[in-house]
Amino acid sequence: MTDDFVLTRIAAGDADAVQECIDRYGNLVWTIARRFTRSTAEAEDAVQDVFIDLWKSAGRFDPSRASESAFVAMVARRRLIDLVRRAERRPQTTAMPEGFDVPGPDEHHLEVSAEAALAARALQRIRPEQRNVLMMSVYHGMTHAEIVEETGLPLGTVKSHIRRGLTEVRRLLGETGAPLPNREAGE
Amino acid sequence: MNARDRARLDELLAERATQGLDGVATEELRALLAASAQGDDEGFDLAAAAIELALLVDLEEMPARVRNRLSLRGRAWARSMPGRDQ
Repeated sequence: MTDDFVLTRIAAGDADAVQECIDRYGNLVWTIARRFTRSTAEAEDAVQDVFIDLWKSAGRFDPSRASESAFVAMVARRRLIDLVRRAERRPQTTAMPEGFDVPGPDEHHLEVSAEAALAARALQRIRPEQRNVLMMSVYHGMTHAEIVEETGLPLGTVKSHIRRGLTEVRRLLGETGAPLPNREAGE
Repeated sequence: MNARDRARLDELLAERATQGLDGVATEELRALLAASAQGDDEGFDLAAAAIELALLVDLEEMPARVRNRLSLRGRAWARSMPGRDQ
């Protein structure tokens, strides 16, 4: 990991950092966008929107709260979830294979953020049923109703599994619930 | 904020992080956040992003055409960036 934060430099008005941001996070955003969209053309447009959001929100990045890659993934997810909602459909995802589990450290792309390692650890700790529901929701973008249909679990249990799973990851990440600056609800 | 509102706030924050909120729920969240006097809370959003990163095994190369288009957009944006000190 590097402590040369391109987002911090963008927030300070460094124009060169904009291209560096694309070079550093282009593949990450593209990979996430491809999961959420149904076509390359749709992913292309989504990626443009994500990066504009990212540059505009660069001032909200706080390296004491999150790694830069986690912040980038958060901004990307938010934009893509919004896109999916507007289109009233769920992300294009591959079916979760039987026995699919959390990738180990050796299976990852080269640079894994600290948060990703902690999240993987949290996913390993929680009960399999809870992990399955959380992965259906976060990674496969399934709605609560779809998860109820898929698993046969009551709606309240599905919501509870998601919330508790996120809470466990958050606890490991050391989140205290303190606000990030300049963040508006539903942005 | 009472326990019931706190639970509802957590529910809405978790939903925002995983499947987004419609306009009504967004307004409800805004009201609850205002009542909580703690500002917005991105903890669940960051947790979901961390899970996303944890489950990504490989990154797909962004096509050159997309990268070039994005670079053009980036240069245009950089020329008008708010904090630019030039």
